[in-house]
Amino acid sequence: MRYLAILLVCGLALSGQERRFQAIELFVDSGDTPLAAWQIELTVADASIVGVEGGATAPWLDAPRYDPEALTGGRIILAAFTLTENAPAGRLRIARLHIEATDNASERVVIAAVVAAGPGGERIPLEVECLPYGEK
Amino acid sequence: MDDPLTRFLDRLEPPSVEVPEAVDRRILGHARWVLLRRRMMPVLAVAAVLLVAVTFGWQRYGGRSLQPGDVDGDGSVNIVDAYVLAVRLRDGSELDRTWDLDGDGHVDERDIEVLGKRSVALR
Repeated sequence: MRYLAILLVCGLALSGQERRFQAIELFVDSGDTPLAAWQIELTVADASIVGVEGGATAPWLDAPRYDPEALTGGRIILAAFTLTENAPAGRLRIARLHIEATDNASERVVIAAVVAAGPGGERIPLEVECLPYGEK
Repeated sequence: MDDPLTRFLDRLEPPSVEVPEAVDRRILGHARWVLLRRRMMPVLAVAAVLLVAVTFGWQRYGGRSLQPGDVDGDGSVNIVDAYVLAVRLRDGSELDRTWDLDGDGHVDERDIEVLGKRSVALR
């Protein structure tokens, strides 16, 4: 068992591909229309999604819905809605993803599908942007 | 040659009848119609079955999507369906029994939860 552990450490050191934890901020822009519901499917190549947090603005402070199975791979569907009157419009940070990857994971995020609705349930266009933690 | 066989055969041959051209056309037209009807029968039967099925389906589902949970009727199930159902429950709007997704006999908050889970499921 001890030899196996030594071999594993040596293997990681030789590979030079140190995996580290990173955070990705998920920003959206709904333009002038208040955002009432949103759903985003994304993938991060060669990475593992290890955690999901909420955003920076009410009513998106709580973590959005996601399938717990997503926390073992690089694909996830995030979704949330609010019944709050006067939901905010414009550019909002709605979630933060924690990723385990070898390099800058935010550059490898691919947005696969986006669905968003305004307060009446009508579909609205939504721009999505993924930035490394701390960038705005 | 005037043998008995020839005389007998001459008697068997029917006298030639002159059929007027109008009667001939009518007989031909009728024969064509019968033939067409026989050929079209399977097509008409299939069309009738389809018509009944579409009429039944329209009465049953009223033109709504057949996908369970497609509350907004856009053909897909996602978080917007959960949101629209939540708004309808909050406002006391009319609810459809097909939105009872957990099968407990009521359309309520639990069905919103089911929709939320379906929306994000990695299928």
